[in-house]
Amino acid sequence: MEKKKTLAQLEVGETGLVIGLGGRGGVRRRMLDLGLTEGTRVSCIGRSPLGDPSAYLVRDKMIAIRKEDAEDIILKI
Amino acid sequence: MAEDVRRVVCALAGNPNVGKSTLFNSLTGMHAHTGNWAGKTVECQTGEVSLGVGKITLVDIPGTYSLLYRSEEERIAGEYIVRGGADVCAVVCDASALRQNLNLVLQIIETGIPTVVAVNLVDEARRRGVRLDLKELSSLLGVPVVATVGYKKRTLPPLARAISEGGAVAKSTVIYPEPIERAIVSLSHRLGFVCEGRRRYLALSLLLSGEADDGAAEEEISRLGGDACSIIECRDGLLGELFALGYDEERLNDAVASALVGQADRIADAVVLSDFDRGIERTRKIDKFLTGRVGAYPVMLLLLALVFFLTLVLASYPSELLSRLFSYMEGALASFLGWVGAPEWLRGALVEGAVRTLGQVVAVMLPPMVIFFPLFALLEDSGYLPRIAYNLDRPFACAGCCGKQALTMCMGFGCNAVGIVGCRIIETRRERILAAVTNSLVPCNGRLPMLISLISLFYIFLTGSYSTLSVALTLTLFILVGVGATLLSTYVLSRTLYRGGGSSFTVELPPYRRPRFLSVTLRALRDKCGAVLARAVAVAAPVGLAVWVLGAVRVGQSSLLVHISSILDPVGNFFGMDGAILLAFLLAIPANEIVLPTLFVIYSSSGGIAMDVGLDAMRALFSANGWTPTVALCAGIFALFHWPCSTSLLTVWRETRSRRATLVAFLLPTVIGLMLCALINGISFLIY
Repeated sequence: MEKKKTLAQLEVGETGLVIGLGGRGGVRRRMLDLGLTEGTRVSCIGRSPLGDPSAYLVRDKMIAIRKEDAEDIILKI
Repeated sequence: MAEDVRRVVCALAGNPNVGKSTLFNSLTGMHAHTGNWAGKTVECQTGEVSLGVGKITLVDIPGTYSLLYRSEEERIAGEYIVRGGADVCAVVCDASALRQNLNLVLQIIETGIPTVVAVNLVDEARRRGVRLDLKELSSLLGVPVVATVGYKKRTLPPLARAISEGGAVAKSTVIYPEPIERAIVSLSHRLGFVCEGRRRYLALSLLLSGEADDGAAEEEISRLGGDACSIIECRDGLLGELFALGYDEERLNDAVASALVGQADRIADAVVLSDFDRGIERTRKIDKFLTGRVGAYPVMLLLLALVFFLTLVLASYPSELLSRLFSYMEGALASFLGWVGAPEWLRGALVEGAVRTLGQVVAVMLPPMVIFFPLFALLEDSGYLPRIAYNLDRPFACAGCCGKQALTMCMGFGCNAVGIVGCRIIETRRERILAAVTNSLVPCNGRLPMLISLISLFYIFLTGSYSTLSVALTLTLFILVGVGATLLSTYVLSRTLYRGGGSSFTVELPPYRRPRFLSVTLRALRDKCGAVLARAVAVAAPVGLAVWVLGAVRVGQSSLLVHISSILDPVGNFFGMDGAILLAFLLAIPANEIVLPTLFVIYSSSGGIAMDVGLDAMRALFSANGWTPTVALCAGIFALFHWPCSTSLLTVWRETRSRRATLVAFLLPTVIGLMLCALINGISFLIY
């Protein structure tokens, strides 16, 4: 069954498909540049020791994104 | 004059962290500093490549993800390529991350500049099981593609040849949604004043630049020879049509970005034959520990302690050697001056003033630096440093900045000026300034030896002796106090002087790799040695001369130096120190390393900086001048928190161009230091 989640809600080890981007201005562009566009597969590969930011695997790169910014990215699981 | 030698200007572009600077160094034989974290190159460096047939002027432009810029370095990169500063653009890609890197390649091809693509680090990718079909890539992109391994010179001639042949202009393969394509074509028809290849990109960037950028856009159009008003008007009309179709500025940007990424994906699907990435698997395993709940902070602290320990232990031997070398040179210079019959005062000023100070600074500062910087460079090369930013983002975010400040702070342990320059990796101006003005709150290499001496003296005056362990622990405490002060003042500043603007943090965590021990060490040594020696000569010698003159000029019974220090005495006493200590810190503004040698001179009230400032000599002289444990502790605190050296202040000014930021950088540590000293003095007054 298909489920919707934000990137911030993605559990470690889980993978999803980007279906929507919120956010605005600079942060939004940064996410786009990092390759987080619609249809991209993202998996969460870890959290930093204090729980935020988390590390994600996007297009063969490991990228750290803060929870605040990850909340604007909608995924389909 | 006929041009015999063909000269090509080539911009070297690429995403951050694809080994671009290393490639640049190998190609040119010059040594731009290279690093393994995103956004290291910030100003354009240039170098020459000589070939049999001609010459290439290579311009290393800042790493960028996109030409549609946002940060300072991306602005520089974008403008350089778009404004036609170069004949050719070589785009460097990381073979292991081609999928992501193709985005920039497609954008650069779209600008209409002749392009060459260098797929770098192919060896590392192969080790990780990534196979690429570069022939197919070249035919899909329509530009030459060459494989390179940045640090292996023999892999580079094909790239140099492709660049000197001028690359190729390819037709853009990116297809935007129909309405946007139509708008681009309509607007292109009005751009007859630029060459055909560049029209499409200019049209696109005009459509994407919001009205806020109209000033810059008009200027650019006029510069290219177009009629700015009518073109902007035409663009506004087209934007109106797009908005009527349901686009807004953000959706327009998204559609363009998605089209680029979609095309990059399609090309990558055809070109990347095997995606199995063992490197990432291994990196994830290591990261489970190095960025995990249990391991992260202990490992960070241990590494920090190890770097300091190695620095201090290994530095003591060359320090002694250099000291001896300089005193030998002093003797030689003195006898030479005696031989040519130079007057006594000149001999004193040159030998005891300039040369001796120079020797002190070099002997005290150079060895820790040439040990610290290679160690730091090795950590950098291994890919560990961005993990520090990742692990520490949370506390720094709470203070109102971001994890990258933690990185600049670590660089500050080596040299605060280096740390301040490093603040360029921070994306927003507000956070960049916050990190720059708080950088001097952690002790640099020039201050560490002084801190150790003062802490040892504190224990000597308190208990009569000292143990290495207690000094080491106290030093660690001092450093942690410095880190705490950094966080606290960032917190206060981000809520007072530098409010608002939000904070942003994304950092790439590169796969771990085995550091290239020899080349990294050698480069760090060569670069830092040169810089430190240059600074020592430029700064220490004149200060030594000045101190000598102040010590030699006598007014009444004693020297000018003693007079000034007695004027400062009441102020110094209030802060638990004395006038001589304050004067020593003031005179050492150009270089913190000479605080103790200068103090030695003031106390012994003779001209020239002391030959050998050993702990025993200091103990005897300082206690004769009324030092107590309180004085030693306050001097230690003041060594940690006082005005930054002139180099750091100048660097803050150069990097921020803000008088306020420079003033804050000066006052912040000074006020913290004076307040703490007054507090300690007050408490000790109550106790004793």
